[in-house]
Amino acid sequence: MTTLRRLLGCCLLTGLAACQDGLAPGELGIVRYFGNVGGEVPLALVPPISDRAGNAYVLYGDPEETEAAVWVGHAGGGWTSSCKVISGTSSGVHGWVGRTQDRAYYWAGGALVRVSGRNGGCKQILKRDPSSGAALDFLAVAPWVEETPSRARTVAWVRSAADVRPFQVEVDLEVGTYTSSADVGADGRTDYEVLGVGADSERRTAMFVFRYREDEQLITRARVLDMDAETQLDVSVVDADELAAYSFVGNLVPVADGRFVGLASDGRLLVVDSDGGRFRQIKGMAPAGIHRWRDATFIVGTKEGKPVVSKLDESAEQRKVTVWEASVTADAALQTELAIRDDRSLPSRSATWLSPRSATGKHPFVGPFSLDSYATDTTLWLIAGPDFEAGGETRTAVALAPMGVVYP
Amino acid sequence: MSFALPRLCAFALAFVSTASLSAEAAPVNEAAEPAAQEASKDQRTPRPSVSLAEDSERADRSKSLGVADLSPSDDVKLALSGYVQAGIGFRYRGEAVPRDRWETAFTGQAGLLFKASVVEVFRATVHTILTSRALEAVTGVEALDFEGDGAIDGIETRTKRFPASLLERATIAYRPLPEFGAEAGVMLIPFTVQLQSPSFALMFPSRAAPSETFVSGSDVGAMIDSDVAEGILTASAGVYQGESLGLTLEALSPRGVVIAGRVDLQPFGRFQFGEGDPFRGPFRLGVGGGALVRPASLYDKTGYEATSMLDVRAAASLRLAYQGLYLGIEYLYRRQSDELSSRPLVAHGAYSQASLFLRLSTQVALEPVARVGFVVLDQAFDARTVGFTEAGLSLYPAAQADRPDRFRLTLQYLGERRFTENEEAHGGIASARVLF
Repeated sequence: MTTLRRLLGCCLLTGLAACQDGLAPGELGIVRYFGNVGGEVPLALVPPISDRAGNAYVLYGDPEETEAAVWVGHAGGGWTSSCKVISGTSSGVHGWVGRTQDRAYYWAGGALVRVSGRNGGCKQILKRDPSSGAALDFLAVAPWVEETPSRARTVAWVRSAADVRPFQVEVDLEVGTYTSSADVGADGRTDYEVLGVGADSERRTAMFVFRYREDEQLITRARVLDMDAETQLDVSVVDADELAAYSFVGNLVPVADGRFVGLASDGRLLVVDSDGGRFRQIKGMAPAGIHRWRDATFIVGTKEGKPVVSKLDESAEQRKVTVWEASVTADAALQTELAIRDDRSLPSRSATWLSPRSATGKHPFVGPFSLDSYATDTTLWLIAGPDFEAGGETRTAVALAPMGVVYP
Repeated sequence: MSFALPRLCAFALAFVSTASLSAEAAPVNEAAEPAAQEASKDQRTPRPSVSLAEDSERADRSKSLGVADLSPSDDVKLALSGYVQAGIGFRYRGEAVPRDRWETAFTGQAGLLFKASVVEVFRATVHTILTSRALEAVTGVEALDFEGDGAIDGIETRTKRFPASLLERATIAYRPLPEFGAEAGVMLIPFTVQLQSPSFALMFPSRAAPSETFVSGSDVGAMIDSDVAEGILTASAGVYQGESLGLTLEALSPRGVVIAGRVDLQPFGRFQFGEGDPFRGPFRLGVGGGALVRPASLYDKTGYEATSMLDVRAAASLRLAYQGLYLGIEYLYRRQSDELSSRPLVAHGAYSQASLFLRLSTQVALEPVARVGFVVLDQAFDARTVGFTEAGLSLYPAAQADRPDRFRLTLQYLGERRFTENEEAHGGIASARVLF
């Protein structure tokens, strides 16, 4: 009956152009309960992404945690949650790398992992060097997958235990191998650490901010790579000595003309262009992350307890801080009983959550990572439900929902 | 590779998918121009028209064996026609891995068309395409354990291509009046201009890539059609199973039918059967539109309803033909949405194709053909734009007036430009086709 109403109302009476493709700002789609996560709100969850086939992926873990877990929400309903691959103990989950037709890729510890949207299975890519058999660590991975009819690939820095310096490689994500590699620096440079990574899907480039020691000096630089893993730009970054490895919040994101920005853990904004990298102070808000949405870049955060946004212009200058109405509306939509679709196993069942709230932060959409462009003016967000004690640990029920979003 | 669909869409028409390369003969010119129709009728007479009813001996033998007598009677008219096509093609994709950068392939296939008239108003039609490499089957599977730890690290499969017969049409038609008819069985859903033509009557060896993106292959269903004032106004409406539409949520089972319709206005008279204007007719102009809706319930693997969906597709076309010149423009739109995902699958595209049939002598004709088109996929969340360019030259060395396209030699260029992914490919085909 609903379908018939849509058919008549949407497409026959008002014409095809009037068929709405996305949700209204703050509006919720079907809320799908996928599992219980250890901890209380805010939970250590990376904002979900989706592939072209419509499968949704939820990643548990943060840079401090050396554990990871993935839930795959299949496009036709049902969830799979078997993937927990992470390697190394020096860092936790870095985030999503990207997605293709029916796969997603994440980077956790030193592992690059492929997750299948079809069956929920996962596989660590380049766990070992195909030539030497040595275990490989991914020191840096560009958070973008270039997907073409010919291949799916990204660029990364990999290192085995025997290497002093990492190698800059192009990774073929379908085949699971690297196709070009080069030493990242000259002899005498040691103690390489990566501070942050970013990617510009329009210019098809990646940005790595890194540090090394040379002649007892600590040197921080930012490097732009193309997708063949060729260095396009390598510039100095000043005033970064105090930052630890992987200290950027979320990913670095492009602004315009090849310029990147990133939010350091101390709240400063790093701007990198061909002149080099320098830090600026963010004014008028407590920043939570830098988002890229529809060819524009925003600082998101809070001010006086409200979600706010400040757009960055082409030269990365901060514009007016404004209240993020979509987040406020979404917050309001959660201040009520919420109908849940529990499709952890099929057939799905209905349930109601009495006190839902945003699972990963105080306000919906406000977080370190850019939002997934799930549909027109729609993203995916995580909603926390009831929490309970199990085995001496607090666990929280979490659901995924499409949510309408616009930036001011 | 996960990007199999776009890959196939791109140059599969040339060599990867033998089903789409190909069949283009026009063995029976059913709805040609009036002048051309006369020519066709004359030409039809000597065609292989076989009555098997005289084989009474075999009929008797069937009876004695207790087998149902399927031998046609004297009233049955059975016409057999067909085509054979052979060619060679290549594709170059500069960004591909070395193995896939250059590809060449020989192609070959045949089509058989059977038409049977039982009584005046009933007719059965079968169009089958025989191809040597249409089905790829898994012939072996092996679990891989590189580390010897008992955990499966991968699966290796072995596949092989097998010959196949594809059914493009198998229908029973009922036409009590020239202006009205009904048809049921396997057929193309005729909601676009291209889908009104069988694959053997196309200007190019394959349908336009934008058209293939929206509907691909035959479906099963029933339709009624009307033809008013000798083709000035034609219309059709039908109900189909929907297998040719594709389904976004592949893991689910749909329950729901497709309702499709199309109207064409041709104020100067109807177009020739198929595309192009080999009979060099008078001026004709056609404006048309088609729509298709499929409301359906989708059931999960446990058998319970997972969600409902609505699939809406529309097409609008403009055509003209005059003295061998043919020009067609078609726009297509698709929106497939479901209540579970809040993510509609939206796409649109268009193409334009033109040909000019030039008669060099009473025996030889030349036909330059060109087609450009584009399609925008995944429009609602991460749009990808793909452009297509095709151009070719067809030579008809035996272009007798009654059947100018009986033998055709074609050289064709195919180009694909994926604007979003910044990748392009180029290919070419040399092919020969004989109608019989």
